[in-house]
Amino acid sequence: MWPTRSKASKSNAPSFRFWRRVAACLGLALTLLLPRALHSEGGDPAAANVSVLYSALLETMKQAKQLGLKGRYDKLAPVLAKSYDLPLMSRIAVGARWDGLSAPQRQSIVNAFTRMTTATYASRFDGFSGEALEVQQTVDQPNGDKLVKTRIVQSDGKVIALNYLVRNTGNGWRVIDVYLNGTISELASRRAEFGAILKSGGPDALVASLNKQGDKLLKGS
Amino acid sequence: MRFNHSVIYPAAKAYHNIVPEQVRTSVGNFVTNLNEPFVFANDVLQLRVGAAATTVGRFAVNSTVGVGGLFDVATNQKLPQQSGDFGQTLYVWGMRNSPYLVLPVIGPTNVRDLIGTTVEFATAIPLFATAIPAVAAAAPAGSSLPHIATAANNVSVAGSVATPFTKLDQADQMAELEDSSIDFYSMLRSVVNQKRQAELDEAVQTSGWTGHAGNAGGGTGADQIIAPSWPVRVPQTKEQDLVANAFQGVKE
Repeated sequence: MWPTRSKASKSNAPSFRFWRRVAACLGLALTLLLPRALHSEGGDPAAANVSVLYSALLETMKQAKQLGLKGRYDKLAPVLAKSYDLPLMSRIAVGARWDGLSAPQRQSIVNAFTRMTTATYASRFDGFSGEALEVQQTVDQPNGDKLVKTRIVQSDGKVIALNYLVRNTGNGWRVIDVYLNGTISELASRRAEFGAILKSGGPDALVASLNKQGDKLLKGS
Repeated sequence: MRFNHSVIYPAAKAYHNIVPEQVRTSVGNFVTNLNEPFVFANDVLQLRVGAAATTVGRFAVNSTVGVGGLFDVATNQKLPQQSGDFGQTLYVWGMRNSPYLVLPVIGPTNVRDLIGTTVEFATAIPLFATAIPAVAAAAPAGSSLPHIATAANNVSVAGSVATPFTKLDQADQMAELEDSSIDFYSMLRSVVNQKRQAELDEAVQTSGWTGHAGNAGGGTGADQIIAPSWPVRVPQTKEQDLVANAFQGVKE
């Protein structure tokens, strides 16, 4: 979920390093880090789910130029839909207001969030420069979820940690959150954004914002 | 925000495009290394023995083998960068709740961290402005101390020059963060709070004051893979509490 670029600059100043990681992993620019080698725990379904995602990303990245932006979007859409539980993530990001929404409103939010997420991946995974993405280990959580720890190793040796929270949803193990550097939750950040927009403009404004971001990404800007 | 778009972001983009990455990295390393004594002091104030020892090791290695801090050799020697600032110290000492602020130049912060930054700034000025000349003046004839003091003064001046460039690199990344968000202020606040809370939690968990010491020296280096702050860790940010609670029992 946290798209990363391949040439994030390095620093050890706390805030400097922090922003480098945030920028690198929030999907903001240029190319994304690509998997070069996968080392998943054999047999663990949660780790296998993340490995499948990484494999698809790697393949897409290597074919990025031939596929083009739309081709990458079409290729990644079914993979992301299977790897992530995007409807659940949408619901959690909306929060308590979800119960007050109509079914069409809920579906509109899920569709717009799914489109924006897929567009983010298609936009960022636009090349390959030798990065490695490694699935390292799985940690069972008290509530039955699993935390899949991975790390991205850039071509120059720099490392970024990405941990995936994976849940058995009944339709298989699906990612429901991603932690940048093990601490910054993608879903908590999205929830903050959603909450602010819902408070000021309601569900229609949220859908409009998600679609606007999706449009921007799919235009390649 | 307009100032960021019209002045800061273009300058940051130019810095990113013109200056090679290795140079930018070394500038960042240099400034970070100059800050290590403050990290050490705060780790001591927090009774984080392991973090303090690691910071001493980092400063020694990077100041020598790392050519005055230009290269972060220490991280590869299993001496990861430690957190440590006076805002964090105040948190360990009991100043827990603090209003969020976004200030020009300083950026997103809170009252507690603003106090911490002010105290550190106020401490640094007399340190470099008076202590170094005093050492030079008091040194016996023929001693190498004046040369060392002069070198230290030059380093501090270089640090003052280099620091704004690290801010530009941060601003470049801030622009990218803004580009990816649908509500930048809310995203920024959430990300800042989560990242900061992780540092504060680490300090509390490893501080002798709070009785959780024993896991010191874990560091927050990029090669560290830390368990998520929730549901494993407490306390958490407000946002993470909300999301964690929302997860319980939710399957679809």
